Amino acid sequence: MSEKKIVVIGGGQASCQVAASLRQKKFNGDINIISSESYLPYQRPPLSKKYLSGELAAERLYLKPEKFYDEHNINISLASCVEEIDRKNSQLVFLKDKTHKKISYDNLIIATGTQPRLIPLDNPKLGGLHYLRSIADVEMIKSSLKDSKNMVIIGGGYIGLEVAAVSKTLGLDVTVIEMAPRILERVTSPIISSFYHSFHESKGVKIMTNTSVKGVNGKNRVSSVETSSGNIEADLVLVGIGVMPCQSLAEESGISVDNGIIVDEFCKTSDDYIYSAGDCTLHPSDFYGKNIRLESVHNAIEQGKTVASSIVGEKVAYNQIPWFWSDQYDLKLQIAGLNSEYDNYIIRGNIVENKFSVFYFKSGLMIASDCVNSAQEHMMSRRFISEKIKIDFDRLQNKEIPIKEVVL
Amino acid sequence: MVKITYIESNGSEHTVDVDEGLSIMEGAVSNSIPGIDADCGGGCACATCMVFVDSVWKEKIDSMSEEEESMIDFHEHKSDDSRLSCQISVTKDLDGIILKLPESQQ
Repeated sequence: MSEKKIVVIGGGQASCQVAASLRQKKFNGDINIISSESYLPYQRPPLSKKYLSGELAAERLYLKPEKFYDEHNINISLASCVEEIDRKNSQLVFLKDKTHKKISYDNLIIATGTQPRLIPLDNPKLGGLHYLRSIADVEMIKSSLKDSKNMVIIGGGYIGLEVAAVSKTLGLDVTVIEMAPRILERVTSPIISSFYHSFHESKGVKIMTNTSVKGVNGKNRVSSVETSSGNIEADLVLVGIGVMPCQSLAEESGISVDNGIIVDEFCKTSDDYIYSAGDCTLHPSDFYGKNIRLESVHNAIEQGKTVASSIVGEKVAYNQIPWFWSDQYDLKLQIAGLNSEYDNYIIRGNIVENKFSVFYFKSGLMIASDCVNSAQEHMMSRRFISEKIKIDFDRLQNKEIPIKEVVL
Repeated sequence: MVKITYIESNGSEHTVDVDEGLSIMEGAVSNSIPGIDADCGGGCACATCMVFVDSVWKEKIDSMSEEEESMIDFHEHKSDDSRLSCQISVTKDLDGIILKLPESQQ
């Protein structure tokens, strides 16, 4: 078993975790990471926050230092693109790569993550028009930021709002355009949407909801964005309208995909020798009783660990309550669970003091929470949710009663 | 450069030089010290970088924020000496500091 050859496609959080966990489990076989990016695996969350604002340098984003890979005998090929998974011969095929032509595997892990959803435009190559997924993307945004005054952000999701917070703080005029009736509609409740809407407006960010983009104008560089509510001047445009799983390699090789690469609770795909981990997987959630796809660091790390366990034969099923976070201005939002099916909610704390939590319930059980500047509530709610603990609603609403003492 | 010694729960010691301005957590990660996971990358959001700081050194470190205290409260191996290493900046005053690591960060 220890002589197996492992190949990981993708160079992000999940990929790095698979490799690190395998070595931690004393796996001695070959480990090869094939990444299309030019950087060692790095943290993505700071890209739209402290890295964009300039507080963090690129080296501080690396998940592991370069020597870690040498010390643990992990081969990394950067800027290397796989063309095809040849499952019949258990090998990857490269066409344009200088260092590889083919590389064989005993187990393959697909950890290709996601890519930004593109907005259909006649002139998608216009200067000043950006997406945000990688260090390279942020480098381009940063250089545009220097000479820009008016920024338009298309899409009022977490990425868009985080960039709005940084850009506003840097002194730009910022307008967020959202097609839906409210920002964050896809991911959270009207209470949180309305709180963030007001908070951004109080900082001077303009938010236009129920507004769709008709096109982007400009000769070489963008000059304005045409919307259903009129023309908006812009010298910098960020599109943040969601991401799509990178699943074409899997799909073309005949591995089952839907909205993501379909895996079981051990992160195994429809091919017994191929696993998948991270943002690109559609995986079963025991708690929510359905298959889900997450865009989450925590999920990438935990699925990475699950893959490593599966490969060494430990068979530990993945079963986690998801959690996420978003930093905007001095607001720290910590999110536990998925709230999409809630039938009741409780607010604890004081919204005007920017320190409050919203707990979501379904049939009397807590299924999710959004906690703003309330770390204790967040941590406790993760336990309430995962252990299906019954809560006294009156006590939960009363912020004078410690969060640990609200159990029924 | 500031000298920092990390001691794993099994007693293995790692003494490394860390640049001022980084966090104690980054000092551990960039030197491949096992026992500090730092899942959230330093956002005080996950409590997987806990260390134990003994009282001699405690005085030289800024006191804990309410946020950090809340996170530590949920750590299985917490003690009165617990800190989240992502929240401690490396300064000259900390030269020679010794930190013990918990047996796990779960």
